[in-house]
Amino acid sequence: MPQYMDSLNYQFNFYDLHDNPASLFEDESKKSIWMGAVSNHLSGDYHLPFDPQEINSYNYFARTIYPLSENDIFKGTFTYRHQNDKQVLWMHQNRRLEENPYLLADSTSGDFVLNGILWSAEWAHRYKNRILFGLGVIYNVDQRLKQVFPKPLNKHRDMIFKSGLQFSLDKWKIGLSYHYIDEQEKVEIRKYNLEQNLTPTLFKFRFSDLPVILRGRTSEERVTTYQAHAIGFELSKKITFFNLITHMRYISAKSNTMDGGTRAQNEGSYDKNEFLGALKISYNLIKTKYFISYNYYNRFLSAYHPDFGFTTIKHPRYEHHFIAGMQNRLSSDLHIYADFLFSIYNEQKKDLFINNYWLNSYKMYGLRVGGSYFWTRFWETDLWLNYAIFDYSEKERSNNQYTPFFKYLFSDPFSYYTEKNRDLLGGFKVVYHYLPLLEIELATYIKKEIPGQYLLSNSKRLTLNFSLILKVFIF
Amino acid sequence: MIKIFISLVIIAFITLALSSCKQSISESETTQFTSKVFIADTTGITAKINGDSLAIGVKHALVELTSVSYGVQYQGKTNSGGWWEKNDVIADYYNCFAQKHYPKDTVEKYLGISQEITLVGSLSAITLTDKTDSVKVILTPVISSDLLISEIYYNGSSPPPPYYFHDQFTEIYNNSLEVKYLDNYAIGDLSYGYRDDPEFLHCLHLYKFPGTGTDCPIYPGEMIIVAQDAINHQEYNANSLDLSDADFEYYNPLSSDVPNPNVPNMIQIYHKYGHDFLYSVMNDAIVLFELLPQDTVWSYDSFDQILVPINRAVDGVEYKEELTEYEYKRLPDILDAGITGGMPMYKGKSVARKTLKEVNGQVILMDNNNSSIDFQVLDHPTPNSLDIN
Repeated sequence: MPQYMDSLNYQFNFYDLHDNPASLFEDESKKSIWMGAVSNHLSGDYHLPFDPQEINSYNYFARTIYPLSENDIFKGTFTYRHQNDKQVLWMHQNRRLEENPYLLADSTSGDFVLNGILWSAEWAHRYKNRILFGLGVIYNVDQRLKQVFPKPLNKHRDMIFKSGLQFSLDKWKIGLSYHYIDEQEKVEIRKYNLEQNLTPTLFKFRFSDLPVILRGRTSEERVTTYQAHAIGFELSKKITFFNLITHMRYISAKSNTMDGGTRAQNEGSYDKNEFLGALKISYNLIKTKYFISYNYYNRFLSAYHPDFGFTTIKHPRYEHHFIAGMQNRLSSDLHIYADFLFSIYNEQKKDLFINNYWLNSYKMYGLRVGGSYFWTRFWETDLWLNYAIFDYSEKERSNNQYTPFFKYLFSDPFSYYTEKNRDLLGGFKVVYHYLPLLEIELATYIKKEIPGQYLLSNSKRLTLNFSLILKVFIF
Repeated sequence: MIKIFISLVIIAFITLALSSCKQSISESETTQFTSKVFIADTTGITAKINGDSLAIGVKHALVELTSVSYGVQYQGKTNSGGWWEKNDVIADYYNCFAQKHYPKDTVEKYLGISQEITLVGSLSAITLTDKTDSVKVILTPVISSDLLISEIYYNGSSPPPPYYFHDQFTEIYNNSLEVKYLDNYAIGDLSYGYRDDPEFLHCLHLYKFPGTGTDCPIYPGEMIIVAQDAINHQEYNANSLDLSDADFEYYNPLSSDVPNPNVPNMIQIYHKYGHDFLYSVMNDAIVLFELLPQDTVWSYDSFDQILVPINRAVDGVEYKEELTEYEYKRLPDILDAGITGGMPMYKGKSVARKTLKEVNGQVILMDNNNSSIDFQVLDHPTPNSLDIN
């Protein structure tokens, strides 16, 4: 949707843009309770080889903003998640599949059922009006069980600690943030969960081909850990009609994979360094607002051999995103929005072990339009449409194939990334406002990802999303 | 002041980002390397045949490298200096096997002995990376056994009913051109953890063929079947075998095991546990022993496993569900430098020795003391017949 419709309380603040908990005051300060349900349904053939053919997820959540005092504010959320992943090919893990080469799988295709809870708590404190600081924590646990033999159980435990500082000097606002991310994914296959006369065939993927194939292992345990440190810097200034905001973040992450439980055996590790920077400027007139933004993202990932220590995979990626948008209030009841988007993507992947290489460079052109209309003072409707096309300027890959696994590990993912042709999205929202105390929001959108005509013709990926949210504001 | 501070922070961030993210990637960069293998014969056989007493390199020897983790195989022949080089090798732990065969006429011409000679050598689970300069394999003459284990069916039949393993058997083949007698031979299976014992093999079970000297002949090119239970197993599991014509069967008199009166029983020397002499359907090592007259008094280890002198072993085969688990091998390399099997349990498959050649119509089976090379997996057991390949 157009960026001005992203959030009803969309602002140029460090909390929305950079997840700095110190800036919670500037995002929302009213006491409120929200409750809602969101369902998401994905289907269609256009997906990565190890992604589910179909995903049905349901999230039920509650959220509160609670000012503790004039200078303290609290935000808490709780979410229960239930997800059915249909026809997942081989793969046991479901985290960071795009970047982690160390993956465990078996030879069957089957459904997974996931149940999990997520909660978060954030607190911000204002000190002498000029200094804000905040702390936050997000905690997620879930379990995902494959419904067919060999019934691997996939358990997650994720924690994110957030801290931030914001202070004002003259007309400048400056923010500093530090996040620590700690994720753990554990996969278990137990002999006594199996049909006793069957032995699974397990695959341990490490490279773009040549998995380690285990035909006699009846129990296996894999623990993948991911730790990241993220430091951020934010800066904003308001000059009459102009709002300027810039932010930068540097993330250093390390992931390690161990097998075997008590007889732990290193399977491999990878390092990832990310940098993102952004500059946004908005120009606000009485009836019209304009904005432009530029985002830059750079990532470098390198994976290492478990036994010999040398680098096995190098995976750099960079992106440039330009957006120019506007919002116009045609009347007191009608607002319209439009964004123009242009992005440049460049991704290379080199598997030094198998000796394979790919390069994918493309541009994306997009248009997002939308509007909101108040039919009465109680009823509001929003409508938006997005359209994006992809233009691949460079794509090449090597074909150093040892086994048929090369197709799933290298050539099909390459086709997926280089064949996206168009994205279409349409959304609709109805909101009931009762005074400033209550809002009931019913929204839906449908997204269609269409690949090119060559390798993946007649396939697509369809996303259907529904949400119902009750928002109660307490004064 | 504030402008200086902001500028410094921005410069620091960008420097940090560029230094960490902008690492180079080269399309030609690779960890694959050229592997060099030197095949040496220090026995003097090759030196005499080549007429150069100082040269130990074996020319035109067959070299096979097999990656333990990924199963990739590289094959080739050495050059005139005994070296073999292979490009684009991936780093891993490798089993390296080398063989050189000298035909009878060559041996007779240069050594004056009327026999053919096969030299073999192997290395297990050696590390090969771009940091490995070269690998040296020393060949020794194959001491071929006249009697060989030609097939083992240990895998168990596929359901229904599940867990059917009573149809296991071992096939013994006379690979020589003379009549042999099984009377002093025995079959045993080995316990894990004693591979480095230079004197004894630690057996869980040991069963001897009946007879007093010449009661159990086995003619050249013939084979015999030793069954766990010599009955028609198809009556109990349709996917199983009819072993009612087996030559011998294991019989455990200390249990409720019921023998087939029409089939001679193997004589129990030692039986540590189990209702019958049951081979593991996953991992085991089966050994054929030739016992000596003095082998009537036995010693045992601290875990009550019978100790059989290693020099009594004439053939041994190790099988595992997982072919990469060299660290858990039971048999020393001198008996079996490899592992066969590599199949899930209860699939109704067997492992059988490959054919080397035919001499006057008699099939000679491969015997390099390396089951990774000598054996193949059969989709269906073939008791009393050879799978001629």
